[in-house]
Amino acid sequence: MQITVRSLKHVELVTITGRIDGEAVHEFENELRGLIERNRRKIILNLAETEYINSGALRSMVSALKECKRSSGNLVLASVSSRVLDTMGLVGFNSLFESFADVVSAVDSFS
Amino acid sequence: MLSVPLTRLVKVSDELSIMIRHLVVEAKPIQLSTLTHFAALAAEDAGFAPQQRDRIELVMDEACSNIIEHAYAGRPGTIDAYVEIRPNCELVIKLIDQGKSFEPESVARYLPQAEPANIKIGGLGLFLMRKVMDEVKFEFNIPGIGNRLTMVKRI
Repeated sequence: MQITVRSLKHVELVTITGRIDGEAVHEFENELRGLIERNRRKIILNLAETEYINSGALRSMVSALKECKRSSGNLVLASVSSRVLDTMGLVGFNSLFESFADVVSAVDSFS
Repeated sequence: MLSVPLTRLVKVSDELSIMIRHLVVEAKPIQLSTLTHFAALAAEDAGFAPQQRDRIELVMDEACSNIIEHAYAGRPGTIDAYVEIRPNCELVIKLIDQGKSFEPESVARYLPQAEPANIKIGGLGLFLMRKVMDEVKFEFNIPGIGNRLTMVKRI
Protein backbone atom coordinates (compact mmCIF):
# COMPACT_ATOMS: atom_id res chain seq x y z
CA MET A 1 0.00 0.00 0.00
CA GLN A 2 1.12 3.55 -0.72
CA ILE A 3 -0.44 6.66 0.77
CA THR A 4 0.05 10.17 -0.53
CA VAL A 5 -1.44 13.27 1.06
CA ARG A 6 -1.87 16.54 -0.84
CA SER A 7 -3.28 19.75 0.55
CA LEU A 8 -5.76 21.34 -1.86
CA LYS A 9 -6.97 24.71 -0.56
CA HIS A 10 -8.63 23.70 2.74
CA VAL A 11 -9.02 20.06 1.85
CA GLU A 12 -6.67 17.12 2.34
CA LEU A 13 -6.59 14.63 -0.53
CA VAL A 14 -5.50 11.22 0.68
CA THR A 15 -4.78 8.79 -2.14
CA ILE A 16 -4.35 5.13 -1.32
CA THR A 17 -2.80 2.78 -3.84
CA GLY A 18 -2.96 -0.99 -3.32
CA ARG A 19 -4.45 -2.99 -0.48
CA ILE A 20 -5.38 -1.85 3.01
CA ASP A 21 -5.10 -5.28 4.60
CA GLY A 22 -4.12 -6.42 8.07
CA GLU A 23 -0.50 -5.65 7.30
CA ALA A 24 -1.10 -2.10 6.03
CA VAL A 25 -4.00 -0.96 8.16
CA HIS A 26 -1.95 0.57 10.99
CA GLU A 27 -0.13 2.87 8.57
CA PHE A 28 -3.48 3.95 7.13
CA GLU A 29 -4.91 4.52 10.61
CA ASN A 30 -1.85 6.58 11.65
CA GLU A 31 -2.11 8.73 8.55
CA LEU A 32 -5.76 9.59 9.22
CA ARG A 33 -5.12 10.12 12.92
CA GLY A 34 -2.21 12.44 12.10
CA LEU A 35 -4.45 14.61 9.92
CA ILE A 36 -7.10 14.84 12.64
CA GLU A 37 -4.48 15.72 15.26
CA ARG A 38 -3.22 18.51 13.00
CA ASN A 39 -6.80 19.72 12.85
CA ARG A 40 -7.18 18.88 9.16
CA ARG A 41 -10.81 17.85 9.21
CA LYS A 42 -11.88 18.18 5.60
CA ILE A 43 -10.61 15.00 4.04
CA ILE A 44 -11.11 13.26 0.71
CA LEU A 45 -10.14 9.62 0.45
CA ASN A 46 -9.31 8.92 -3.16
CA LEU A 47 -9.93 5.19 -3.53
CA ALA A 48 -9.51 4.96 -7.32
CA GLU A 49 -6.44 2.76 -6.94
CA THR A 50 -7.49 1.01 -3.72
CA GLU A 51 -7.90 -2.66 -4.52
CA TYR A 52 -9.03 -3.90 -1.13
CA ILE A 53 -9.97 -2.78 2.37
CA ASN A 54 -10.57 -4.78 5.55
CA SER A 55 -12.52 -4.10 8.74
CA GLY A 56 -9.56 -2.30 10.31
CA ALA A 57 -9.60 0.21 7.45
CA LEU A 58 -13.37 0.64 7.87
CA ARG A 59 -12.90 1.25 11.61
CA SER A 60 -10.29 3.93 10.91
CA MET A 61 -12.50 5.58 8.30
CA VAL A 62 -15.52 5.76 10.58
CA SER A 63 -13.45 7.06 13.53
CA ALA A 64 -12.01 9.77 11.31
CA LEU A 65 -15.47 10.60 9.94
CA LYS A 66 -16.82 11.06 13.48
CA GLU A 67 -13.92 13.33 14.42
CA CYS A 68 -14.29 15.42 11.26
CA LYS A 69 -18.04 15.86 11.75
CA ARG A 70 -17.54 16.88 15.38
CA SER A 71 -15.70 19.96 14.07
CA SER A 72 -18.02 20.73 11.15
CA GLY A 73 -15.68 18.97 8.77
CA ASN A 74 -16.25 15.84 6.73
CA LEU A 75 -14.52 12.82 5.30
CA VAL A 76 -15.78 11.96 1.83
CA LEU A 77 -14.87 9.28 -0.68
CA ALA A 78 -13.94 9.58 -4.33
CA SER A 79 -13.81 6.93 -7.07
CA VAL A 80 -14.72 3.94 -4.92
CA SER A 81 -14.19 0.62 -6.70
CA SER A 82 -16.96 -1.97 -6.79
CA ARG A 83 -14.96 -4.30 -4.54
CA VAL A 84 -14.48 -1.66 -1.82
CA LEU A 85 -18.13 -0.70 -2.21
CA ASP A 86 -19.12 -4.32 -1.67
CA THR A 87 -17.07 -4.54 1.54
CA MET A 88 -18.61 -1.32 2.82
CA GLY A 89 -22.06 -2.63 1.95
CA LEU A 90 -21.52 -5.78 4.03
CA VAL A 91 -21.29 -3.70 7.20
CA GLY A 92 -23.85 -1.07 6.18
CA PHE A 93 -21.30 1.71 5.65
CA ASN A 94 -22.38 2.77 2.15
CA SER A 95 -24.83 5.35 3.41
CA LEU A 96 -22.49 6.72 6.10
CA PHE A 97 -20.06 8.39 3.73
CA GLU A 98 -20.71 10.88 0.99
CA SER A 99 -19.23 9.36 -2.12
CA PHE A 100 -18.30 11.07 -5.40
CA ALA A 101 -17.48 9.74 -8.84
CA ASP A 102 -14.18 11.61 -8.96
CA VAL A 103 -11.85 13.83 -6.95
CA VAL A 104 -13.00 17.06 -8.64
CA SER A 105 -16.60 16.49 -7.54
CA ALA A 106 -15.40 15.59 -4.05
CA VAL A 107 -13.36 18.81 -3.80
CA ASP A 108 -16.34 20.83 -5.06
CA SER A 109 -18.51 19.34 -2.30
CA PHE A 110 -16.48 21.28 0.28
CA SER A 111 -16.92 24.68 -1.36
CA MET B 1 6.21 -19.17 5.05
CA LEU B 2 7.12 -22.30 7.02
CA SER B 3 5.77 -24.72 4.46
CA VAL B 4 4.76 -24.70 0.85
CA PRO B 5 1.04 -25.46 0.46
CA LEU B 6 0.54 -29.22 0.51
CA THR B 7 -2.39 -30.79 -1.30
CA ARG B 8 -3.91 -34.20 -0.76
CA LEU B 9 -7.06 -35.92 -1.94
CA VAL B 10 -9.25 -37.83 0.49
CA LYS B 11 -11.58 -40.28 -1.21
CA VAL B 12 -15.13 -40.28 0.16
CA SER B 13 -16.53 -42.68 -2.44
CA ASP B 14 -15.50 -44.24 -5.75
CA GLU B 15 -16.36 -41.03 -7.60
CA LEU B 16 -15.98 -38.33 -4.97
CA SER B 17 -13.04 -36.97 -3.04
CA ILE B 18 -12.23 -33.97 -0.85
CA MET B 19 -9.26 -31.82 -1.79
CA ILE B 20 -7.38 -30.65 1.30
CA ARG B 21 -4.65 -28.01 1.17
CA HIS B 22 -2.51 -27.17 4.16
CA LEU B 23 -0.23 -24.21 4.76
CA VAL B 24 1.78 -23.28 7.87
CA VAL B 25 2.99 -19.72 8.36
CA GLU B 26 4.40 -17.66 11.18
CA ALA B 27 1.70 -15.60 12.87
CA LYS B 28 2.95 -12.26 11.59
CA PRO B 29 1.18 -9.49 9.65
CA ILE B 30 3.62 -9.92 6.77
CA GLN B 31 2.10 -13.39 6.18
CA LEU B 32 -1.45 -12.08 5.74
CA SER B 33 -1.17 -11.70 1.98
CA THR B 34 0.01 -15.32 1.68
CA LEU B 35 -2.92 -16.51 3.77
CA THR B 36 -5.54 -14.44 1.96
CA HIS B 37 -4.18 -15.51 -1.43
CA PHE B 38 -4.33 -19.15 -0.25
CA ALA B 39 -8.03 -18.74 0.61
CA ALA B 40 -8.89 -16.81 -2.55
CA LEU B 41 -7.29 -19.46 -4.73
CA ALA B 42 -9.22 -22.21 -2.96
CA ALA B 43 -12.47 -20.27 -3.36
CA GLU B 44 -11.77 -19.88 -7.05
CA ASP B 45 -10.97 -23.58 -7.43
CA ALA B 46 -14.15 -24.46 -5.53
CA GLY B 47 -16.13 -22.53 -8.16
CA PHE B 48 -17.15 -19.40 -6.27
CA ALA B 49 -17.98 -16.31 -8.34
CA PRO B 50 -15.50 -13.40 -8.08
CA GLN B 51 -17.60 -11.44 -5.56
CA GLN B 52 -17.84 -14.42 -3.20
CA ARG B 53 -14.16 -15.22 -3.71
CA ASP B 54 -13.29 -11.64 -2.71
CA ARG B 55 -15.48 -11.89 0.38
CA ILE B 56 -13.85 -15.17 1.41
CA GLU B 57 -10.45 -13.50 1.02
CA LEU B 58 -11.68 -10.69 3.29
CA VAL B 59 -12.88 -13.17 5.92
CA MET B 60 -9.49 -14.91 5.87
CA ASP B 61 -7.82 -11.54 6.50
CA GLU B 62 -10.19 -10.83 9.42
CA ALA B 63 -9.76 -14.25 11.01
CA CYS B 64 -5.97 -14.36 10.68
CA SER B 65 -5.57 -10.71 11.79
CA ASN B 66 -7.53 -11.57 14.93
CA ILE B 67 -5.28 -14.56 15.64
CA ILE B 68 -2.13 -12.46 15.17
CA GLU B 69 -3.38 -9.43 17.13
CA HIS B 70 -5.38 -11.06 19.90
CA ALA B 71 -4.49 -14.75 20.26
CA TYR B 72 -0.72 -14.30 19.95
CA ALA B 73 -0.62 -10.55 20.74
CA GLY B 74 3.01 -10.13 19.75
CA ARG B 75 4.18 -13.56 20.94
CA PRO B 76 5.75 -15.88 18.36
CA GLY B 77 3.60 -18.67 16.99
CA THR B 78 2.18 -20.26 13.88
CA ILE B 79 -1.07 -20.43 11.96
CA ASP B 80 -1.97 -23.76 10.39
CA ALA B 81 -4.41 -23.02 7.57
CA TYR B 82 -6.40 -25.80 5.94
CA VAL B 83 -8.82 -25.42 3.07
CA GLU B 84 -11.09 -28.27 2.05
CA ILE B 85 -12.90 -28.26 -1.25
CA ARG B 86 -15.75 -30.69 -0.78
CA PRO B 87 -17.81 -32.33 -3.53
CA ASN B 88 -21.09 -30.98 -2.14
CA CYS B 89 -20.09 -27.44 -3.22
CA GLU B 90 -18.65 -26.54 0.18
CA LEU B 91 -15.47 -24.74 1.02
CA VAL B 92 -14.21 -25.35 4.56
CA ILE B 93 -11.48 -23.20 6.06
CA LYS B 94 -9.82 -24.32 9.29
CA LEU B 95 -7.33 -22.16 11.16
CA ILE B 96 -5.35 -23.60 14.04
CA ASP B 97 -3.29 -21.59 16.51
CA GLN B 98 -1.71 -22.07 19.93
CA GLY B 99 -2.46 -18.59 21.21
CA LYS B 100 -4.75 -17.28 23.89
CA SER B 101 -8.39 -18.36 23.80
CA PHE B 102 -11.28 -15.93 24.02
CA GLU B 103 -15.02 -15.99 24.57
CA PRO B 104 -16.69 -15.13 21.22
CA GLU B 105 -19.94 -14.21 22.95
CA SER B 106 -18.14 -11.60 25.05
CA VAL B 107 -16.98 -9.69 21.96
CA ALA B 108 -19.09 -6.58 21.39
CA ARG B 109 -21.77 -7.23 18.78
CA TYR B 110 -21.47 -4.79 15.92
CA LEU B 111 -24.81 -3.36 14.78
CA PRO B 112 -25.07 -1.35 11.55
CA GLN B 113 -26.29 2.20 12.19
CA ALA B 114 -27.39 5.00 9.88
CA GLU B 115 -25.68 7.76 11.89
CA PRO B 116 -21.88 7.77 12.27
CA ALA B 117 -22.16 9.09 15.83
CA ASN B 118 -24.17 6.00 16.86
CA ILE B 119 -21.72 3.48 15.50
CA LYS B 120 -19.79 1.34 17.92
CA ILE B 121 -17.13 -0.32 15.86
CA GLY B 122 -16.06 -3.19 18.08
CA GLY B 123 -16.71 -6.68 16.72
CA LEU B 124 -16.63 -5.63 13.08
CA GLY B 125 -14.29 -8.45 12.02
CA LEU B 126 -16.41 -11.11 13.72
CA PHE B 127 -19.56 -9.58 12.21
CA LEU B 128 -18.03 -9.86 8.73
CA MET B 129 -17.00 -13.47 9.29
CA ARG B 130 -20.52 -14.43 10.36
CA LYS B 131 -22.14 -12.37 7.60
CA VAL B 132 -20.10 -13.87 4.77
CA MET B 133 -19.73 -17.48 5.89
CA ASP B 134 -22.55 -19.99 6.38
CA GLU B 135 -20.96 -21.47 9.50
CA VAL B 136 -18.39 -20.08 11.93
CA LYS B 137 -17.30 -22.26 14.82
CA PHE B 138 -14.65 -21.55 17.46
CA GLU B 139 -13.09 -24.32 19.55
CA PHE B 140 -10.41 -23.63 22.14
CA ASN B 141 -7.66 -25.62 23.85
CA ILE B 142 -8.34 -28.88 22.01
CA PRO B 143 -5.80 -31.38 23.39
CA GLY B 144 -2.99 -31.96 20.90
CA ILE B 145 -4.34 -29.32 18.51
CA GLY B 146 -4.85 -25.92 20.15
CA ASN B 147 -7.49 -23.44 19.08
CA ARG B 148 -9.44 -24.20 15.94
CA LEU B 149 -11.66 -21.88 13.91
CA THR B 150 -13.80 -23.65 11.30
CA MET B 151 -15.64 -21.65 8.67
CA VAL B 152 -17.87 -23.10 5.98
CA LYS B 153 -19.15 -21.47 2.81
CA ARG B 154 -21.55 -23.10 0.40
CA ILE B 155 -22.01 -22.10 -3.21
